Amino acid sequence: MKIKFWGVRGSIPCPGPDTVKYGGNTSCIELRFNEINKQIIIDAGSGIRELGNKMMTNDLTHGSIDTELFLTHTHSDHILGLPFFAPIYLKDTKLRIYGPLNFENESLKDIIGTQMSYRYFPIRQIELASQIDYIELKEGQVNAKDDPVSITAKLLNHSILCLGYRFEYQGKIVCTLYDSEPFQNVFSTDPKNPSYDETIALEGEKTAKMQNELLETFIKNADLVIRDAQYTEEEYQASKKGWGHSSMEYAIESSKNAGVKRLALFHHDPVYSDKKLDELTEKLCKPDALENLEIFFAKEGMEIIL
Amino acid sequence: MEQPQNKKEEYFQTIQEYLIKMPSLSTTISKVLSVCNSPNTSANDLNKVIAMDPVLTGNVLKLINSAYYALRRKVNSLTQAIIMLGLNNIKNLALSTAVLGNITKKKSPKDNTMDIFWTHCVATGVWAKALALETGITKSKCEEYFVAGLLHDIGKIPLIHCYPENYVKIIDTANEKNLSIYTLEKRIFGLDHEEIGKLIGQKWKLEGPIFQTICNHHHLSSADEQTHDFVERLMVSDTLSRVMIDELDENEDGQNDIFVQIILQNSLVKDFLEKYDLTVSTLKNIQATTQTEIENAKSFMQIAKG
Repeated sequence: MKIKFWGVRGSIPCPGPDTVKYGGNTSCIELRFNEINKQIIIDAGSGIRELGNKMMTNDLTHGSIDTELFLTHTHSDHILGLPFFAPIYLKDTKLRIYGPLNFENESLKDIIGTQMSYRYFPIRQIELASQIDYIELKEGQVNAKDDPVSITAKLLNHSILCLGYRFEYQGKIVCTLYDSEPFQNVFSTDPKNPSYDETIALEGEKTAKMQNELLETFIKNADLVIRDAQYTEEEYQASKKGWGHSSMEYAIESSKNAGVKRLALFHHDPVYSDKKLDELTEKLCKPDALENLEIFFAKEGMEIIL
Repeated sequence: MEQPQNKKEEYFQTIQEYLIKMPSLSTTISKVLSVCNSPNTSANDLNKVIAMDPVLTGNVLKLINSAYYALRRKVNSLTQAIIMLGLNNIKNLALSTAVLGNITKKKSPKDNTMDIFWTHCVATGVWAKALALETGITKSKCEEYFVAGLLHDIGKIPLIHCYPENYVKIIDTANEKNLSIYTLEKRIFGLDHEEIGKLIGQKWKLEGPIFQTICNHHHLSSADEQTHDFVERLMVSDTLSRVMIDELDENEDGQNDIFVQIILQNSLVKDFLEKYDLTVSTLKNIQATTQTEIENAKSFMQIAKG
């Protein structure tokens, strides 16, 4: 299985001289399974444009494009590249788009399609030549258990329905866990607070702990986990709680608990320059022989073979 | 008072249509809107306001128990649901449920019936929680009893809302002729609040003891074996709540001698006291705290006394 990062940023594309090394495009990851001639794309952030261009150059020579796109959720930084994904304009392309619903029960097709309406874009979804099928996902096993690539989905703690994915192929496991904030006990635990309720406070603690343990079970023993680590712990504690993202320190600690082998810190904050990410690498990504966990900040263009 | 068959079919149709988009109660709607529209709302206040609104509670449980999540067991706790769904999603849900209702400054007879209904639901919840605690249920499981009390008469809402005048007549006739409300509902509408409750419970995907309470709180023998004791506690709470509220209306000084006399004539309550080796003074103590809790709830919801 080959993994390639086409976009690693969170929130908004941020091209410029300060983001050359780690990249400025938003989320897009490609998984290739060459033995079975299969490709899976995760998210359609701005990084998908370059991936599409590469597919037009390389893949078309082997026949028409037949691929799958798994969306983690429908926030704009994860879908804004889709109108610029060149294969959707070819009539022989077959694309299956998987993703979660929202709580308002609007269809995935409508949510994604909104950005391809005249008010936002000169071409409407209905005018696309390719065959696009939408498959709405819920938590649990996504495909048949005997499929060569087993895929399961897990709901994460984000401000809309957002799915983490676990891909298993020939004994190797890759997981995505973004956008995701650790579950929190949002209820007051201070007996001096007028709204404090002991039963609720205890149940809140128990629920948050249990949900976070379930997330660790979901990524257990993975060979590679690509994980939301948008902020430092200091930034998170100071002003980013409830924003739906994790701190790097939490991502590392929780991945260690789960026995993960490699951790790609992902969804970098757009304010982080190459210099800042280098400094954070120096600080957080030291090899740790005892824990046996390799940690790095994902870079645009980086390839990993498992 | 009995209605012809075609009229009953018409009632059924109207109720079915009402169930498609059931709004919050007129009693709770203003508070729901003010809490959810405030950017500084605490999770505790959000929990409190939802726990005071049967429709909203039902909608939150419906969402958490929907097909999105692969839950090992149904979630019947608001605290758990709020942490798992996140504050923003809960606020959105509460707002979308609340805005379906009408806010008018002038109270109609329907609003008054709804206020009395609301007081009874909350009082039954408070009684159920207290009785559960007195009869050996652990504190963490007691919230489920409160929710069951809050929701037990949910089937009355469509009737009160769609047919306010008929419903006032039913209440008056029930008092005058000492008949049960559900018998009169069945006679007039062709279906009673247990049956309508069942429709709502199925729509909300409820099951287990809460669902059994909604469907069988006037017919304990129909409740399944595993939930018998749960439903029995709710039936006793329902009775005690009704007696207490009637007495509060007639006995402003708060003397509870009549309360004691009435409950000792009630075979359901008497048998329950014997079964769990409880005394009348225990019930009197619970009554005192229940009254305080109801007053606190009313003042939190900014509902005028009386």
